[in-house]
Amino acid sequence: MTATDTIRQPLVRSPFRRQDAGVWVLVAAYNEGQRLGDTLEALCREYDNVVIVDDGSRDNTADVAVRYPVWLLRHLVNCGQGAAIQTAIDFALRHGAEILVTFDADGQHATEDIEVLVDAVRAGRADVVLGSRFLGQAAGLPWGRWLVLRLGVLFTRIFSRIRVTDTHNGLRAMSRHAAGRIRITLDRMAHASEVLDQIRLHGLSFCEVPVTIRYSPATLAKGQSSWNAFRIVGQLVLGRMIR
Amino acid sequence: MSPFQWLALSGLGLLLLRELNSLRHWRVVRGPWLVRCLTWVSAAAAIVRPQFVQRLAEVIGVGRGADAVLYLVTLAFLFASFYFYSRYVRIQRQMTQVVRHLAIQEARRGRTNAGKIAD
Repeated sequence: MTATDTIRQPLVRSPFRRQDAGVWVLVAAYNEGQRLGDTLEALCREYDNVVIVDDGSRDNTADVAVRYPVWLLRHLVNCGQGAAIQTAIDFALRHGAEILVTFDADGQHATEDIEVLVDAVRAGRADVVLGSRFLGQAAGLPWGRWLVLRLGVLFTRIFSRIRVTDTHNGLRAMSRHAAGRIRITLDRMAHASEVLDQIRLHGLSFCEVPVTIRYSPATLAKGQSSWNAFRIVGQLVLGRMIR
Repeated sequence: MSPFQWLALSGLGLLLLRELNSLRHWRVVRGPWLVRCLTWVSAAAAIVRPQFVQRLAEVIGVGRGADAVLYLVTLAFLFASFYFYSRYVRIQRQMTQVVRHLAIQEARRGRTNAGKIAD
């Protein structure tokens, strides 16, 4: 079933859907026309405020997004995932978001995990709640990617001096206060490490919760190569030097 | 002087004249202007009197003049690379801000009545 087929069915709202208007789910999407429909189908059943930033896609990402009850923002050119997330944060804050959740467009994340993250922020357990696949599950994670992610955790603990178990997990929730303090300046993939840097820099409290990530051949093929880890380290180091 | 020296000195002379001309019109940022002028004058001196470079190499403990030039060029290349990369990053950030502004200004809501999607 394609994304287009999926949206031919009327969107049936979940009877248990969360009515909290303060929760905004932010999705950065680049050439995700094939998978975005399923992701939005699941998100829109549960949440009223979903923001999609189409980051200069060359496919039908925007056409798919606009068929769902979401806010669609379009970058005229591809700026990178970090830039797209910051755009979504700015937009959500202007519209009164109280809790902001970042969520990947490719369907790797489980919608049910959002509730756990949001509850932790709402309960005041932390300003920022980070999803961790290593505390939860990472179904289909290749060993090469596992190794790179583990090395990334080690690097983050040394470089950013923040003790986390997963560094590049796109599923995270933050309070309005935290979202206003964090400013992503690294436009591309290094933004995930920059967010951790800023959590420490601004003295924000954080915690990790177990989440599930499902890898599929399609997401692995589109996702970043393990060699990109070197580029991310370079961007992060140089990014700190250039203000 | 050899034809190469004449040619190189003519080029460097023109560059220096250009710098002096820009000073006349108050169009310069003092620090970079001074660095550029010093570079052209040093290059001219090294071309006219190569023994200057040899003497400099001995003073800083490199040994040969050619090695000293190589090290200086390498350092200059690294500095220039970082300088231009930082300029590129700043311009990229400015472009992102413009793109972001437009994206927020032109935000639109998708279909709110999802039940009519099939129409």
